[in-house]
Amino acid sequence: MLRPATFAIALTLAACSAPGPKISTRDAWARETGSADSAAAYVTIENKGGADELVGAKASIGEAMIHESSMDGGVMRMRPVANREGLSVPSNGKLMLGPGGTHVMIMGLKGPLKAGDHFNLTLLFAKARPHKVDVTVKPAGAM
Amino acid sequence: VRNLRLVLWVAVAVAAMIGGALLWRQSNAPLLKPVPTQVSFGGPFTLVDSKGQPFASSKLAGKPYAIFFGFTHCPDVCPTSLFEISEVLKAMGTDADKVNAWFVSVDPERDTAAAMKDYLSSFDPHLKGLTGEPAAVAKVISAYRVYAKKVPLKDGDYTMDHTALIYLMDRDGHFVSPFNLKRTPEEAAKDLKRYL
Repeated sequence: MLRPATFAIALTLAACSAPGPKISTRDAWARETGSADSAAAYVTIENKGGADELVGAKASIGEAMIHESSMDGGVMRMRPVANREGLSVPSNGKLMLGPGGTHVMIMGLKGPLKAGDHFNLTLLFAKARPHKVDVTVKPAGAM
Repeated sequence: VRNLRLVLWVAVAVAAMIGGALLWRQSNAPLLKPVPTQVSFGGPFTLVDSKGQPFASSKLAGKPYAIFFGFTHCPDVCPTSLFEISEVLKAMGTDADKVNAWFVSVDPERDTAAAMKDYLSSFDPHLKGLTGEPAAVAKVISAYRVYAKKVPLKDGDYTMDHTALIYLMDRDGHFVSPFNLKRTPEEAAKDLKRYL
């Protein structure tokens, strides 16, 4: 008869002891822009702790949003990843934002991005604290 | 149970044979002939090149070409495609001079000749941009059966949904097939060279 109660306690304990996320980032880059006032930024987010979610981004140089490109029947679409839950950053796993998929779209750029420039991007998570990333601008032909 | 196992093994053997046959066919794929279609695909047009000069499609004759559609305010997908095509053109070596690759704007409102030139400057020089008056561009879009639609973003900004296939056209300007970039640049280059 005690089993359900014991189980509940065990669950509670497990929840309390669930480790927080441990976020780190690498390979943060963006493409040089020409006359367009928008840019895409890419980054690999690693998590050595408990599961978390990427819920947004902020940039010093414009308005940042998480966007997703998807191909459907040969038609390419780009949409904000909004009104949805955040993007999963799994426990002891990673979330890769890369060309042709999920990326940070920065709109309303105050000026063009030139190869060699750097700018600050802040990634926002459901649990972890905001994480600052130094983004390197690469030539437009970079991958 | 034994019968079931036998059936499963037979199924595996058949699947392996079909897979093997498909692989064999791919590696010995014959040169694709233009697809005979009821509807016309492509066709004559006059657009504006990245120097701002009129460009008539009659200049395309004599060389196979790849034609694909995009826009310069496309920060993610278009540069990725342009990068991949640049790699194929590089892998072609001097044969790259014998083909053309055309990047046609689906966003003539924002894509001036100068914007196209600027956007393409970081890619292989064989890649050339075409834009023009919205009506002229609309005609090409429809001739190539391309889907292009404006999608509003925040603050009056917009993006374009668009067909991102790369059409391979032969020397006579007939549609051959969509050009597959999901392979190594060397493989794609080898395939493209067959149409020279």
